[in-house]
Amino acid sequence: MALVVDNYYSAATGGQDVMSSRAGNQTKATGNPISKAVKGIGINWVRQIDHTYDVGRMRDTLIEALTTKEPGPKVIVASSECMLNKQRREKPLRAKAIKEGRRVEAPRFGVDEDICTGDHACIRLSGCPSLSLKKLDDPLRDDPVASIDQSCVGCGNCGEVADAAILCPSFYRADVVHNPGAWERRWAAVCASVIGWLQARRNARRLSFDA
Amino acid sequence: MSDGIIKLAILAVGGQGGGVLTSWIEDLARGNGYAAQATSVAGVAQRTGATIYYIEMCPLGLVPPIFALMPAAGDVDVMITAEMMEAGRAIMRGFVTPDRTTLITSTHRALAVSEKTAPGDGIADSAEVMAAAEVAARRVIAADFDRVAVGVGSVISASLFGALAASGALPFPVSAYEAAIRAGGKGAEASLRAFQAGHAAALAPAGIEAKVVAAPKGVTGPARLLAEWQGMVARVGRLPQAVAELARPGLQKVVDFQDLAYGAEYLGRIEAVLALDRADKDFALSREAAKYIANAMAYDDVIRVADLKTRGTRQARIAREMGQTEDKVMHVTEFFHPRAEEVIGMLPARLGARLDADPVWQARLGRWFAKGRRLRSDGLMAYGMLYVLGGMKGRRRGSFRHGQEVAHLERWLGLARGYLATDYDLAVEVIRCRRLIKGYSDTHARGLSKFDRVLAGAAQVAGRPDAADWTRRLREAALKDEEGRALDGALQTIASFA
Repeated sequence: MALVVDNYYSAATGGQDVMSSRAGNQTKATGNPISKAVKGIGINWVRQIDHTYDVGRMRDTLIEALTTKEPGPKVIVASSECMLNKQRREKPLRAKAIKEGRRVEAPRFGVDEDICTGDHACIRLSGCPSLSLKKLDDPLRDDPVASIDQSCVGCGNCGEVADAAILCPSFYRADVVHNPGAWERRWAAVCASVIGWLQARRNARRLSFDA
Repeated sequence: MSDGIIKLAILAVGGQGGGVLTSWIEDLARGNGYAAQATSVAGVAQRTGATIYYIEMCPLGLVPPIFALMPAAGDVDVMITAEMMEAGRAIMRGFVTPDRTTLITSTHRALAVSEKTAPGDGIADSAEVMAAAEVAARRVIAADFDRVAVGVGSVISASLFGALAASGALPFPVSAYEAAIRAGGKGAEASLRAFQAGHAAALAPAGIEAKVVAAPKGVTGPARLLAEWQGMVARVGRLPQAVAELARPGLQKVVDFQDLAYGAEYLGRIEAVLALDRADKDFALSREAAKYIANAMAYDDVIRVADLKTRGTRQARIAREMGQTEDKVMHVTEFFHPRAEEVIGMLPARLGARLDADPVWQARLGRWFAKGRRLRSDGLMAYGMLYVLGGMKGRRRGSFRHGQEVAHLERWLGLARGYLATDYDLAVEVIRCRRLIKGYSDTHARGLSKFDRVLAGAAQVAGRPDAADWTRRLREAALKDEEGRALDGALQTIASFA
């Protein structure tokens, strides 16, 4: 089995043609998918995955490739744009859109430190540079907990991994909506007031400790 | 600088602006009548290796100087490291020597993958590096230059440049440094702020980062409960100081988990341990028991997770961290993946036990519930569901999971009590083994099995004078890797002599 990791970027130091490039080029042939080339050389079992952050699907495809009865080589083409480069490309556009008053959703991930038990299983599976550790100021806890720093670009891999490997419910994604519409704003206020009422109701019946 | 050349090296990782810092230093030298040359050797990947920047400079004379391309051991005047372990690496490579090197380092940590993946606490000790730095360098300037820079909205390169100015290691006035930043143009204002903050931090006396003493946590609630709570706090106050230190946060944790009656149960358990404890050992057993019984009693179940996820304080914290303001709306998506075990755990004990023993029902519940679920906890439907789940504390004590947890707790405490008469230290180590149990689902199961294996190992060495020491080693081995290979090795060692 061969796995082609395609992050949308390739360097040809000799200035060669990159046939699979997604860029338009007047003098060179581009836009030829890798999977097509693979099929062209006579491989029948080819899987193209366009959203590699879907960890469950990626895993299932790998299992299928390794267990299928079909003869011949198996090729998986895993294509997702390098998240750091994508952010570099999109961040200025997003900032501009926010400035112009357009509606923009900015996702970022977080970890609930009360729920994280500090076993670091997520880090062993993810390896994301933004996913790090944090020592809590709690004498009852021995081990540092997982923590996502400001550099998170919201790719979602950590949440996907926690989900696919059935790790823990500590992860959450927060999407901050810039310039929300009037209706959206009103509905959010309704939800917030109902939720606020429920929270006050519960707090009136128990002790709350300021964290 | 016997040859009249000032040699300066920088170790920085991706995103820290090492290249910017290098060009500022070059500009600084050239702008003040010096010849300068800068080189860099890139590290591997973004965060696994540091880039080494190297600058040589000397006053421009009649004969053009010949500069080297790379730093040599024992031949560096100023070493700047943008992270604490990088300082350690610079020392190991011989770039920091007591006869001449001024070491400027940030004390913050960017953790290595190997430090992060340990199931326990794999974070390397910064104090050791600091001690080595004091010995290895002629002079050390250390502060958290990362925090200093982030605090004023900039990057560490600027605050390190400020520290370099403050060190006086280069023969240029502070104004020349600032001119170099201004000449750089882009983002100069933020960089100048960080430069000044870094300059000030470098000159501040060492030890300024005193530990912030945590203020006693405020408690609010209905008057009746508050009165009862105060009574329990007073009960903690009657414990020996060493025990009360941990029993106070422990009490808060279990009351927060369930209710005041549960807190009373907790204190009862601590007092029972204390009755068997020894003052000459400074009540070490009760102290550890206060910590780990609280953790064991406040186990992670569905109710706890749902309760924590629906609190107002959590919402406020997320909004603060994500920078949500009045004019923005925030969506929060939770990632849940319940399994049949969690559902069974919530059922009444008898029913739960029956279904747990029945593979047909296990599979059926798995089919119904076990599935990745993403819930929008800012929406009314999902919030309402979590709110109801979080409010099921009243049924918790009767649940199957609670029965399991209590039985496990009692077995563990009983085991420690059994060792107490013959080997006090071993009993303390057994209490501490509770640390191994953490995580959810598979991780939790693995933790439980490690806990059992360590305690089985403890039983093998019990009776030997070094039994406690071996148990501690077993526990530490168990925290080293996920699969428990280190633990297997340690157990084999024990089997060879016990």
